[in-house]
Amino acid sequence: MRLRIPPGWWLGGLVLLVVVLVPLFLFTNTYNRGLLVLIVIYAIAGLSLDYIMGEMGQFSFGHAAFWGFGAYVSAKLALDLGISPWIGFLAAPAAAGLVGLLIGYIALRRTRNLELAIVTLGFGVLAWTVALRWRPVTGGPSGLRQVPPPSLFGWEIRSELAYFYFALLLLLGIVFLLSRLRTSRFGRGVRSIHENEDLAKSIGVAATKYYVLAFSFACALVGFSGALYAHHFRFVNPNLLGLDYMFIFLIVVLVGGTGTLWGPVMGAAIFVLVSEWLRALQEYRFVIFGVVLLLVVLFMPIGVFPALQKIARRIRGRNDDKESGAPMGEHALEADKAG
Amino acid sequence: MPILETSGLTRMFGGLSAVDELDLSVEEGEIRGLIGPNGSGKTTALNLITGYIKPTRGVVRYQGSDVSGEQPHDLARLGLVRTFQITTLFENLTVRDNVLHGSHLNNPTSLMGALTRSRRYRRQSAEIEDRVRELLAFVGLGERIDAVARDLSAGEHRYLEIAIALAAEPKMLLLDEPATGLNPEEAAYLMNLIRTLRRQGVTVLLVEHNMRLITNICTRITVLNFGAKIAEGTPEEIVGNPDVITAYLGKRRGA
Repeated sequence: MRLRIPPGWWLGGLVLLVVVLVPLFLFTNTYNRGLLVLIVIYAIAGLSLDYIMGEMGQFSFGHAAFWGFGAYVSAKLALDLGISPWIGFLAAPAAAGLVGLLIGYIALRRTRNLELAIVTLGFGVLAWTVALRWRPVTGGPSGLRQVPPPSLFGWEIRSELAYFYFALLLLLGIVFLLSRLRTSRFGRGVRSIHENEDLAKSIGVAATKYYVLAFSFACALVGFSGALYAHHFRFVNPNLLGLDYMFIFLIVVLVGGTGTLWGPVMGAAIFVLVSEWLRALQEYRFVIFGVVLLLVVLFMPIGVFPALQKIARRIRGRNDDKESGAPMGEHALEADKAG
Repeated sequence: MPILETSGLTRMFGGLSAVDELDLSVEEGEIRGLIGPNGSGKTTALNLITGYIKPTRGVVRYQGSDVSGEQPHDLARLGLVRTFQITTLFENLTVRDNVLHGSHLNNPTSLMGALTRSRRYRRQSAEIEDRVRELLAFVGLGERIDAVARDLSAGEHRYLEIAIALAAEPKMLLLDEPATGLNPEEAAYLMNLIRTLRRQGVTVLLVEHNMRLITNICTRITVLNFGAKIAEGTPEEIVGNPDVITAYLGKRRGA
């Protein structure tokens, strides 16, 4: 009974197998393998944004600011103080989580939903401006260069493929962690506030405290993703905190599907690969993405991953949507409702 | 010592007092009815007691200590749990998950345990699961455990709502018009549940609109009109009270 694999994991596992094997054969040059790293980094950022969107049912428009902040923290520590990227990988989420705690405390005590989105947007723009203007610390518009890669036993993880597998391992760990967090007391508390805040309070869930903690956790996670970015692409600049990345993460979550864990992973892959195919179009890519996003929201509002899950379920002849296993089931149900 | 006591409890909305100098004293083990015509301040009183809105004046005492203005979740921790007038559930979740979420205060599992699925965590989770089944069996939803909450009938909604509240192990349960929308059979079943709860030591404050229901089950009844208490006593006393009759039916012409 305990060994029963939730249905989501079968599909996820299949995707994973493809993801692990394909790079070796299809992504043969350095540039293409760099895209793979980007997929993983976006996937982690997407998972983080989805923690706010899917689990909390809220929205943060300043999420990229925490991503960029994490990138700057780790880059700065390595460049100025010579601190190992490994410490940076811990310091970045810690710093982002701490700032997230503060912002969350300010914003979530009073606001939810649309107001929260506006408050976080304001914070995001503020953070971006600071990164742009505070030259002595942030390097101004050109940012910081020559960020060192992490090294393992004296061997620098510079190669795209090595960094990809390293980041992939972390991504899997995060998905695993998130899936278990859901059924924890904390995860259920957060979920219950999402479902009905008044009812959650009536049964003893300290709603605001839980939301502030959950928000801070998501910020820490996205800060970690930012640090991964900094030490691979080896530069940081104010754009990392800006709305471009905010929209990328949003596309990753919405196209992939909220509240499904594997959704943002798939969304990240779709985003990076499609935008690569459209590279010749330069900035017009985002026009196409706008259209794609519109089409997804209109015709597949639950996202690609939940839609595939639905199809898979149908193929297995189990039209009974309600029987999709305990922890994943809750979320699949909500997705079904959205569809 | 009463388990719940309010003195001078007042809430103004603009210039209007929705609850006006309410003195209420509920003894442990009672089923207290709180009745009154529409708009008489019953729900506001309940919201004040459970911390959903803050009083303009006055004091709420629970188990002897002043809890005025405390947060709902802190009151729940002290055993003061409520339900809502409009059925309030985790609609998208299964019946089981509804009560699992309701078990928040009695969930001893640690975060580390949940992440590692330690033996201790699995044992504690199994215990919670057992309690969820017990509660659902108690309210008569044992067979519906896998149903999605929003698919339940009106009666089942109310039973589930009570199961969620019970999962928080209340010492005192405040029910806001739980019989609304139920047919007589379902309402009778619900009243039986409430009686059983009382036997198990839960004090109940029952806000109700329907006189007949409440006179059958309550030990004492408090009547509100225009936010103020106009009568209090046993069901027999209340039914015969001319002020109450006037409040409900209006004044007889010439009387």
